[in-house]
Amino acid sequence: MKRWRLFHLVVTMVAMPIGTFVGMQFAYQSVGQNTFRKIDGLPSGYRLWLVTTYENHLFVIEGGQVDPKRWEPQLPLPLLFRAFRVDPVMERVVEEIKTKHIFAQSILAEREQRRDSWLAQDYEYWLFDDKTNAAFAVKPTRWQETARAQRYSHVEVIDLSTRQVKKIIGLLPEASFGTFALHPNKAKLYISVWGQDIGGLLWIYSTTTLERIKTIELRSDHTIKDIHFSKDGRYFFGSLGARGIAIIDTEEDKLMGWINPPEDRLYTVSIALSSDDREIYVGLGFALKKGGIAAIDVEKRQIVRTLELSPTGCISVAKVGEKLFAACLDGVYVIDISQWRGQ
Amino acid sequence: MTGGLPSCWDRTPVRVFDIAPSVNWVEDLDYFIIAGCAVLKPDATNGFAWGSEILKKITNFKGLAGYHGSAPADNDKDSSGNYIPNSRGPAVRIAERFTVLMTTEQPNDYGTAHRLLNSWLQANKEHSSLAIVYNATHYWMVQETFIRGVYCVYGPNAWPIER
Repeated sequence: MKRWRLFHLVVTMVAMPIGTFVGMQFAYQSVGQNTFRKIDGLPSGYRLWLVTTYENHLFVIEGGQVDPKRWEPQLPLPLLFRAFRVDPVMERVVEEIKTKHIFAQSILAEREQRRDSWLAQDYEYWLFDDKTNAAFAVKPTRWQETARAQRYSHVEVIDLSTRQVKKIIGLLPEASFGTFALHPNKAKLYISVWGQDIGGLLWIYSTTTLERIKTIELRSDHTIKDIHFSKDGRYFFGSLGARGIAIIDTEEDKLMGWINPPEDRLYTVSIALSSDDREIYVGLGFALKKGGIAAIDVEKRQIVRTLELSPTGCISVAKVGEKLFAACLDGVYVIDISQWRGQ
Repeated sequence: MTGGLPSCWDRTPVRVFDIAPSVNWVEDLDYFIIAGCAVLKPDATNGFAWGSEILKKITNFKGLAGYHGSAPADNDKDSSGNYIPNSRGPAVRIAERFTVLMTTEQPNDYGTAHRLLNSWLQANKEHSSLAIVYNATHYWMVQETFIRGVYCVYGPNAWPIER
């Protein structure tokens, strides 16, 4: 395996000057011969690992330890996280850091000089809309006080020229926040919320008027917590974690499909899409055990493959190039997607 | 959501005061599970109202269990998003797991001092459902952590105290 890695390092170094895009594409091919491997350099034991990516940067965050006798997280969970920057090509840890952030975008903004670095101090997550020159951002209301669910009372719409908040989209007390995403054409903002009386909802806002133009009832006790769009923007894939995955047609903004978890365990929250939009990848687990990854055929709306990774639950996934990174309690695994699909 | 409605979906305006358990429940009950949305939310008009009526007034009553947020559905959905009648939805799976923890497998001890309350918490936590339990003096809740999809049991919290 080491020889393969050295080979790819050399190939990458040669390819990069020719063109970053070509180099990265080439580098994200298989490092080893196995369909999946484990990342080197992470601490051992059972931990709530999270994987998060942004612009091909990959971070692994330790969200706390798990008691393997009871399969319960050890409370209190940390407020400041130990995080590891991982080289997705070499599949090993290259840096250990401390951060209060859990999203790669925010960690990078905090640590590097970027156009959004000024947002990292106060906000946990944000989206840029270059069409209206605005950012949509959220900050946890109780960031400093508790390591329970990060609650957000509102979404702030920030004018990027003046850095002033130009509108607040209120959530509480009507609903609490799930997640949000901008449609690829930037015309609509999707905010998933959870209303205590009515369960999961999807609010759709016009980014021009900043008014709510539609509400979709998910008819679930959960709401969407991870969102991906197909490349053409036609389909919205929203993960409700344990309750399944919703597919929404964004032309009509209508719920058009639902994918339940398997009988023997549950989906975890984060999902990834294959490069051709034909498959969704999601972590599997039950009670922080029985970890694996499921591949869902979008057209059939059903699981077509599972990969058993670990006796511990796999609580998040992230995709970089043609590699899928899956965080289970006993470490982070790398899956060669094309190899797995070919099997 | 006000008044401790048995279900938040049908919105039937039945409150704990209408049921008056301390007067009308003549059975020898130890525990009561109300698996409706947010009925036992820990505030004066919901969970504490039920707790005051049952745990404080009925002799030997040991515990109350239910949800502090939306309750899981009985049925699964089909691939179009419609409910499938008589399917094994999350509420059914939770009930099955709860039964196992009450009979063959020992639940984790969350400090409630009651196997039934511990079993309810664990079965729901494992299925990412927002359970809550009360004994005569305290309550415990399942809540999602900042790690999306990872749930923990938080407690004990003394009651009745407005959060």
